[in-house]
Amino acid sequence: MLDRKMKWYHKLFIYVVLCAIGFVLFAPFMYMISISLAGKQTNAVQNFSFFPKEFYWQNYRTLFGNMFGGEYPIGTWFLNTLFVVVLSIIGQMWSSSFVAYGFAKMQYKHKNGFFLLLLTTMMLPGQITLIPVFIIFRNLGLYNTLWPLIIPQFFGSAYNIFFTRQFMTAIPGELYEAAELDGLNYFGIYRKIVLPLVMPALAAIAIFTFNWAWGDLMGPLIYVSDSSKFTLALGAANLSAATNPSGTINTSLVMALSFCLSIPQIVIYFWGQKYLFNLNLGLGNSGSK
Amino acid sequence: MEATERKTMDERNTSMAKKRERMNRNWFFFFISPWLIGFLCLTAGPMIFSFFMSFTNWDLMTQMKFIGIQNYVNLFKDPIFLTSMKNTFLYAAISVPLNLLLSLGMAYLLSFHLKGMRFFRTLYYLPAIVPAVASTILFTNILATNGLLNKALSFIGIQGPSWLLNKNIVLLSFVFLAVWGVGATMVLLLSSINSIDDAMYESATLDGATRMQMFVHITLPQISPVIFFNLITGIIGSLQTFTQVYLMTKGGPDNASQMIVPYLYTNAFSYYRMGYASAMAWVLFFVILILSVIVLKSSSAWVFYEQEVK
Amino acid sequence: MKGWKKIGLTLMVTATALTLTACGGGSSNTSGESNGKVTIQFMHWGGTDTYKGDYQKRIEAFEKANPKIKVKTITVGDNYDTKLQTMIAGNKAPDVAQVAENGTGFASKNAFIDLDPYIKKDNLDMVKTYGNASALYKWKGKFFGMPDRGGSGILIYNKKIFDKAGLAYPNDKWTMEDFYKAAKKLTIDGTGKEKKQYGTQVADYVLGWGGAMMSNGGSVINAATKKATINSPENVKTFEEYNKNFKESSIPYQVSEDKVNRFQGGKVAMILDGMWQIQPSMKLKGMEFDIAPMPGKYTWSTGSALTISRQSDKAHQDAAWKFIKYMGSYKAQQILGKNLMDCPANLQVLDSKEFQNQKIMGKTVNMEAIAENQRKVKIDGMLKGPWYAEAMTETSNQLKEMLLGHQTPAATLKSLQSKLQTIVNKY
Repeated sequence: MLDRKMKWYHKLFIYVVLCAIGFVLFAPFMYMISISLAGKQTNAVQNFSFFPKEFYWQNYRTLFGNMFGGEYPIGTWFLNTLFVVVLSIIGQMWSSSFVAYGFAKMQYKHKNGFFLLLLTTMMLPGQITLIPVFIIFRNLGLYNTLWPLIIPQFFGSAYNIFFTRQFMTAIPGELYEAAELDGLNYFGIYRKIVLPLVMPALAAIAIFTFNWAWGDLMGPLIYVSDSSKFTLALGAANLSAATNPSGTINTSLVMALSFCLSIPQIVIYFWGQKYLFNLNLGLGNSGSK
Repeated sequence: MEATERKTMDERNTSMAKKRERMNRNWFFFFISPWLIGFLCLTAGPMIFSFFMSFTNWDLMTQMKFIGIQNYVNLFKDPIFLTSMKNTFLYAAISVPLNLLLSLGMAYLLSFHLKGMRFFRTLYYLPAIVPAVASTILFTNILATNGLLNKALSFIGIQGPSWLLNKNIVLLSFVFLAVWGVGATMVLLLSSINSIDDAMYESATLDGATRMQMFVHITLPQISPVIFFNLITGIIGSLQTFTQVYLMTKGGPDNASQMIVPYLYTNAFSYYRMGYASAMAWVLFFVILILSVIVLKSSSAWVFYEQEVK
Repeated sequence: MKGWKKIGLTLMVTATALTLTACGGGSSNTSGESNGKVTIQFMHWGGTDTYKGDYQKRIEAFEKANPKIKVKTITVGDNYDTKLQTMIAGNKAPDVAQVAENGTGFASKNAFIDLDPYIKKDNLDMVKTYGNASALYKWKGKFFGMPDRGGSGILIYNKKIFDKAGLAYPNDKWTMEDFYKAAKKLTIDGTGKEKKQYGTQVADYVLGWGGAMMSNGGSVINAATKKATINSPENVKTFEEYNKNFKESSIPYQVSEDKVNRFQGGKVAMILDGMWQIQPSMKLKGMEFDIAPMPGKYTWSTGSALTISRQSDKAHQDAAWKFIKYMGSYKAQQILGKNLMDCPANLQVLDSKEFQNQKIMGKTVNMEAIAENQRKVKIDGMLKGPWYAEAMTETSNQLKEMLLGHQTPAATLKSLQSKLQTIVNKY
């Protein structure tokens, strides 16, 4: 957007609105941090305050007690998670750009039919295919491994393919025509022209895949039983699980865990912004200037 | 002589067109093959299987019994299912447009090149990455009768209701939760706003267009494919709402916040009714399908494609 | 673009490195070993703390006593039923699985083996050892589970509040009327929306109303005739009183929904809850409390048991039997009783001096109340069928509506009667 010539009161107005919304969105996060620092006494009574009144770091120390051994080897879980996350990101970035290109730019008379088929795979709630899919992976001998969490990522998800396709359709047509005149075949166009242009979309996909794989609970729960193969999210669920039927949990520990779990996501996002939003990588400067 | 020549030319043209068509088709399948293979190996089977299950009363452990369309008949006599249908649609009808409007507004605000934008972008995205378990605990605390929200409301002299205990407004709690997590939608819109070619704005500025005009005539059409994407996935996602309900209210009070997928999940995994749950899933499937096709058909009227999808 | 290449390269390298480490782990799902050793899988819910508090020491003792059997534990923090059901459907069921009220549901689907032949062979007297609570783990008259954690409800009271009001502490003679009367006397009105002090905290949770109902001769479902029995004259009376007491001296939902633990905050005189409230209360400074048996003749139970999968082969089933028999034995249950995270199911342990004379975190409580309470356990027909989960959900829903003041007790029971009957008919 062009906005260099903005008046100062325009700017002020925007900042005020930004801060107001920011405060509302940040408030629950603040509350989370405050709870994570509450001491034992406060926790037993569960009477938490919005701003931290005490700084009981033990909640955080409990988490990082024994990195690779004991009942909760956080280090091992972290490596497992990293393994799943990295492969998932590669799988999703590759498959969604590849498949989306087919749907966006290839010509085939039943293309729309296939596209609708792709969309329909999103429409059946995953909870109902949980067990059949489990049986498939069990038959492949992959029960109690991390592969059932990774393999599907290489087949692309309808959501990501759809999104990338929408992004590709907005690419000016002249770019393709020029490339075709240069004698590139479709694969060449995909690799040399399309991939660089949809990088912002792929960055978004990478960030979302990261978030999803990082926090996924149901997948690891179903497929993994050994605690040495847990992912962080699953291990965290066990660490913070209620010890009794009335569901009393150590709320501070849950919040401390959640906070720690979201730090890598914040870092990734903060760092990925440059690819997500930077005009130099997007469509803006690549074509018509 | 001339005639025959033209004939062979025509023949060559049609055969070339055919060849090109075949080549295009091959390219198409080449590109979609990763998805197609995954679909055939991992998705199609379970989908068909669950469809078949919906005509049985199977519990996955004992012998399967074929019962025809009984599950579907029972569904429409099940008051809890009907309530959850109503709740799900109501929730989707409120949260999808609201979410879209808010994220669009926020994305627009964040697209200005001002100092500190990176900070705000991260701030706005924060809620989207808080684990569901944590955000649910937070929101049960915040929405409690004496919770943070009502305390804030009392500052401006409003006495807030019991959000989670009142049957009539409990659904709003999930709208709050959805609005709080608006960051994810915002990111997609923002990244597509930022990919718009600056030259378009520049030439519009030369023509003396106002900011508002530029937003309506340049920004909106340019990002309409992504808006369309958010609309479709928003509809699908909200109709499949699960985690929030399952963790925050368990559908209570008295099923006033029960929705289709949590009810389906409870039936499948607590009541041992896989067949019945499958029938629910397929009813939901067809509802989503119909809505999606309607939106899809309408899209040609308002979604702007740079290079029309042929 | 350069940045992207770098990232791509980094991702690739990391991926390869990680693949190598992951493959090195290999799969370890084989459990049929040579040299006569057997590894059995044992699955329980709760988290790391539950494992450490309730199982770890007993499993270690078992493995020491049975060097040929190794126990591999699967701890499931959340969605336990989903995991168990998926494993059963995928023919990967754990050899030993923990069950509670959900047990009958799985047992009715033939997921577990019938333990009667083993019980007969080893001459165990289930009712004498585990009391009436053992009836929870029977399907069609046969045992499918070995009682493990007792977990009947218990009355926990704040001594300071009683002393201040000059009231006598609750005792084993108490009826529900005594409980209600004391609760009313101990409630002190406040100025704001919240009272200064509440007599009790009961709600739609079954440990509160279940005992009151059964002590008055009422029941929810008759499992033998498959009839809902909730709308009886006795129950109407019970729930009218329960509702009245809730309004007068219990914490309303509008206050309790913030999850603040007001008992531990010293604002509630008595609660009807589980053993798990004891340990955290012990840790609190300035908290003086004791426990008493639940008021009335009977009490509801939330215990759990261990089962053996039908999918395991004979060798594993035999080893699993040795394991669950050990877990329920006097010796192992003494270990479980040592830290009172939960209550042992074995009555002989509860009655033993070793159990009763112990101090919990350096403090003494009325440990006899626990044995007394476990004897009061009565199993309602609601727990004796696969309908449990659905029936309990509906019952809690309706009772909550009643307590919120949206419907009268009589109307609540009337609508529940037909709803529960519809549910029972489905199974």
